Amino acid sequence: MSNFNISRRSFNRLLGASAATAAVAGFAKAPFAQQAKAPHVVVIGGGFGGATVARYLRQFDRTIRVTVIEPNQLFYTCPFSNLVLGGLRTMESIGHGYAKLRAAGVAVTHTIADTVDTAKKTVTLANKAGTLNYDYLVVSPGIDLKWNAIAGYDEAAAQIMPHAWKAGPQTMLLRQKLQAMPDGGTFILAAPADPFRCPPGPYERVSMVAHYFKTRKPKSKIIILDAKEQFSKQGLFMEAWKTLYPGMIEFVPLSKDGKVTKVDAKTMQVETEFGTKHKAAVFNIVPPQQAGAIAQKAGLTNASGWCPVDPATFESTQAKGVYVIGDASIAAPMPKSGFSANSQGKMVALAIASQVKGKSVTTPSFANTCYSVCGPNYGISVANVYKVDAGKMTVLPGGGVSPLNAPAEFRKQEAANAFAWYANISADAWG
Amino acid sequence: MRKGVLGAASVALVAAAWALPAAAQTAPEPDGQSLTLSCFACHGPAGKSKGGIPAIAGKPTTYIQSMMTEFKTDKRPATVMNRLSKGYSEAEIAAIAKYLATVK
Repeated sequence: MSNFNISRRSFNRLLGASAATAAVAGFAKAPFAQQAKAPHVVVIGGGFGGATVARYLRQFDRTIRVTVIEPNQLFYTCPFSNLVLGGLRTMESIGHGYAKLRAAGVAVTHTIADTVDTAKKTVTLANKAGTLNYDYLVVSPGIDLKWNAIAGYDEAAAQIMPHAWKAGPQTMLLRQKLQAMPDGGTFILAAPADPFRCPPGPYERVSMVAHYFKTRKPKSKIIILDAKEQFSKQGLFMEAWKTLYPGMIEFVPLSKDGKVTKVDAKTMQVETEFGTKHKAAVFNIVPPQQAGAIAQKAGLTNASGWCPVDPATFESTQAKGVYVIGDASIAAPMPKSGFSANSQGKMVALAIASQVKGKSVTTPSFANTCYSVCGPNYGISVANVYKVDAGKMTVLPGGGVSPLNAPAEFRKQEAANAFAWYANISADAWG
Repeated sequence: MRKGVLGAASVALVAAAWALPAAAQTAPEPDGQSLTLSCFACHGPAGKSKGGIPAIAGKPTTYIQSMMTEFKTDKRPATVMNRLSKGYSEAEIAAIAKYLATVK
């Protein structure tokens, strides 16, 4: 394994790759036919999963050609987008470009992967931008929202009642609506049933909106209408809300008619399962989700809408040589998180690099730590290590959530850790 | 004289190998790299943290091993490390420490 070690020299070389190297690996400048011998890995999606797998592949073996297909020039992360709503971070600070991936010799093309032919091993790009041949394909497309799974909640309704579950313009739209809301207004967040992207996300969001209200609009109220009975880090969130925002947040679980089944964007009203109508000044609808559209088009999803994989390699059980990582994959008990995608991306990069070298694939090890920022000096976390046992992804004992009733210093440290984690994982993925 | 010392050392090593339980001899050594890569999400690429969370690259093997063991046994209080270190066996912690020492 020593040839996979990250020496200072190779790491610096990787970070400071010359312009010539970048040009050789450049998407438009060097047709791949000219380098037919070198294995080619195509990565669909430049988020936490895709960017990580690309970076680590180049780090493990510089002979591997890597192309990332990502529509956005700047990737806005869902992690910390709640902090933008709370006023703790700027939108600019959660946007990541691809210059450093390119400098590491990764070809990045800002287009959409339109179709995948897993038999011919090709990916066709949208807008007639060409077809790529691959030896290995990594699919890391994130999520798509299930439009109309909640009656009336379509793309037009999302302009009035934002989901903000893909960071970017939707985050800004929700922020604008919160800023325009008069003091004393009601904010309603509709949370989906499991599984969905970022299980603690809706509750961190509520915490950040509460922080904004507490500092700017203290007479305002928050209601969570939830399609499930319990949620991630529930005890810790409840404790945080009692401490930081007493009396501001009401949680309505499934059994108390919390499931939103219908929205009317025109009258700014939602309806729950048993016919209760709710009005609010600002709605945030987080609808049910599924794997990104390309996963479905490529035949990688099953009836659940997500992608089954062999947990030891994250190779699709429905297509050989295709790896699905991140939110789109079925990796439970690993949550759908940026950290999980990063961890899975590294293991897939190791597996592909080993195969290219004709070596056996090593035993994978996965981890996840999700921080939630409840207030500027108040953080909580869930942390677990995972391994594959008898063909199943297994959570190892000893992990779990932060302790309840922890001293303020502990919460402050976890908030500080959240900020440090964000800087480090961003550098780990995008450079 | 020199030859004698080497010879004695080899004998001692052979004796030590025989003394190991059968399982320890047959079990493959845990893969330090595979175990360590996930750490970099918090501790920074190649273990070089940008700040706030300690850097872990190039630390002596004994330092990482003793820290991880103290976290695992709750001898050293922390926030997440007490929880995460319990997910690794002693042999895995040794492999992580050995690998991190090679990351410059």
